[in-house]
This record gives sequence, C-alpha cells and structure tokens, in this order.
Amino acid sequence: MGDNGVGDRLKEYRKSLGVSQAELARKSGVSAAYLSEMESGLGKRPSGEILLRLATALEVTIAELLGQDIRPGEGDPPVPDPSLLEFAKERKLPRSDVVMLASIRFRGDPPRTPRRWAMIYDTIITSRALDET
Amino acid sequence: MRPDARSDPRVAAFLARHGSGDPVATIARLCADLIEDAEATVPVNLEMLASFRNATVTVLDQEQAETIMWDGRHFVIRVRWADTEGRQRFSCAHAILHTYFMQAGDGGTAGTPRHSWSRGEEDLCDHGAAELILPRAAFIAVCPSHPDMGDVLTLAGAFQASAEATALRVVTLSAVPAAMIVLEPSLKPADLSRSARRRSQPALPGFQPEGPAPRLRVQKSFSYQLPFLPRHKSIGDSTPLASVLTDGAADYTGETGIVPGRFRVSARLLPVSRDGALVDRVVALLFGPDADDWAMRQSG
Repeated sequence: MGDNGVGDRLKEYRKSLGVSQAELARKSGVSAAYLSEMESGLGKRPSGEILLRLATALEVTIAELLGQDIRPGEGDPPVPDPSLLEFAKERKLPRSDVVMLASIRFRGDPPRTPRRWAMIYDTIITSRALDET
Repeated sequence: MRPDARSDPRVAAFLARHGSGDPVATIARLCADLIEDAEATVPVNLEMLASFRNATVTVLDQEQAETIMWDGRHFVIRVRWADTEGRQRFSCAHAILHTYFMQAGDGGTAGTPRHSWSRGEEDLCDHGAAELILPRAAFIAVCPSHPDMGDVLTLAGAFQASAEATALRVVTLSAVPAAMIVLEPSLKPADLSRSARRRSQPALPGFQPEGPAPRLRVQKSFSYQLPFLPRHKSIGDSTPLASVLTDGAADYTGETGIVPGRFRVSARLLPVSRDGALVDRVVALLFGPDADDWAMRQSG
C-alpha cells in the first residue's frame, strides 16, 4: 500500500467492505467531510475515540488502522497442561485447537481439569459461531 | 511484586522485548505510553485501549469468560456479563496487559518446558490494570491532600473503578505511610473447618450445636510504612471500626483493634454480591495520626 498512513488504510478497509464514504460516515458517526480529509492524508492523526468509531465500523482494530502489527511472539507454543492434553485426547482435537487453548491467558488460575477445558472450548466454539451469523 | 519475578521466563521475555530492568517500572511506562498514544481521558475507555493493542472486547454470559486469546488476526478479550462493571473493567485492563507478554513470546529456550501461566505475569498485569484504569498523572491531579473513604468513593465514580481498587491506588502511590484493609465478618480458618466437620456429622434431634459467631476479620490488606495487618485477624466488637457494620461509616483517629497504635481511620460498609448473596464488607484507609498531606511517592 502506498502510504499516507491512516488515510490509505482507512480507504483500503472501507473499499474491502464495499462501503462508500457516506455509508461509513453514517455507520461511524464521523462526518463525511472529515473522512474525506482523512483519506486524503490531510490534518493530524484522529483522536483515539474517532479511531475507535471508525475501526468498529470497519470491523478492524485501531492497531490495524495505524498499521501496527501486534501479534503473539514467534516461537514454540507453550507446553499444554496435562489436563488439556487429556481433554484434547477425549475430544480428538486438532493440534491447532490445542495450541489455541494452551495459549489462552486466564485471569487467576488456569483450568486444571478436562471438564473446565471442555467448558472453555465449547464457549469459544459457540461464540465463534455467533460471530459468523 | 515478588522478588523472583525477573527469573520467571515470561517476565524475562517481556523485559527483553519491552524494556528496562525493572518490570514494574516497565509496565508503568507501557501503560503511560498507551494512554498518551490514545489521548485517553478519565474515565478511560478500555475498549479503545484494547483496540490500540489489536484486541477486541466481548462480554459473555459464561462462567469461563475471563480470558484473552489470539484468533489469528486479533487478540480477543472476553469478560463476564455477570460481573460488576468494576470487575469487568479490571478484567479487561488486566487482559490488555497480557498482550504485551503474549507479544514477547513464551521466553523459554529450546528444550525448556514452558507453561501457559506465570505468577509474575499475573502480578504485573494486575499492577498494570491499576495503571490503565487509574492513570497516575490523572489520579494525582485530583487526589485530595487528606483522602478519606468519601473521597475514594468520589474518585472511584470518576474513574469508573471499584472502591477497593481506588483505595489501594491511594496507598500504592502514597508518599506518606498508609494502609488499606478489606474486612468481612467471618470465622477463623480453624473454626471454619471445625464447623464444616460438625455439619457433616449427624446431630441429635432438636439439638443445634452452637459454634463460634463470625467476627469482622481482615481479608486483604496492603501497607506502606505502616505495620503489617495480618489476614484473618479479628477486630474487637467494641472498636469504632466494628461499628461500621451497623453505622455504615466511621471516620476517627484512634485504635483499630488490629495492631497496636493510633491511626487516622476512614471506613465504609460496601457490601458485595457473591454467589447470589449480598456479603457485608468494610473497606478502610489508614494513615498515621499526624500524617502529612498525601503526595505521590517517586517509585511504586
């Protein structure tokens, strides 16, 4: 992408969603004139609150609008807890799902029983399905 | 912060990626940078901060919701619908901090087992959550010179934080000796197990064995240059602090009934909902009897 920073990315994400400036303005509550200005690379970077409105309307994050690549570090995935391995064996989970579950950060103690892993896994699968509908 | 935090591979990896030798100072700096970058004002919009960290926030009506995971494109933070707003905000802020650790990788070397949970990381995320919800610059600007629990409640409302987290922030940032305690009516741990044993045994018909009555006891405490306030320590029923259970509030200078000495005490009855029931809980701030004006200490 030729870069005028946020403006170019804003335009690209908007076009990839197939929405006009006017539609995005309506969806985000940001004026069409301001959007046009931003996409032309004029003015300073919008405030965090404006970026959040635009990011939400475009189904991306502010980090993506700013072109920041924030992702988990490279390297081997963490070693799964034995209770997770037991659950994975019971359900015959693919390796990618085991890695995904092992990478989750919990507030407080992580699960230590296959039953708790099952509840978490089912929650994720259910909420994923909701996102897709 | 535990002294061995730097030997924790996840904390070491975090420091290698993000910063200086001091994990607490590094967390504080990252939080200040994030708030500045987002131009966040009080109350801090945590969904916005999460989005700056490439994370989305979902509120779920599920017991297992307090998590953060990577979905291949974004971090996904899940908080529990049933939690109080204060708890949801703390969980969200805590999870935002995990993105820095996840970004740094797992910190193991080849052949060294790595596990997905680290006490050092959890402690630092708790510390950072307070930095995000109660940003120090904004907090110091509005914290009065002699804060009491009334001020804590006002500040908690302004920052959309819990009273407990706000009282703790007053103490953790204080340059003058201070302490914060959370008390609840409860039994001594030994009496609790005795009482559980008694319940499991058959009682004679019509005979209700009497057990010890619950007393107001320390559940949590944090002291800065004041005596350590031990967990489970009970307070005398006749102390002004105990009267908070009936009066709702107490502001006085005198004994606490927990440790010897006189203190400037400010306490409020702030019940919490737990497992569907309302539980009495007292949150109190303690200062020395002649404490100077509150000011922020240089480190903390």
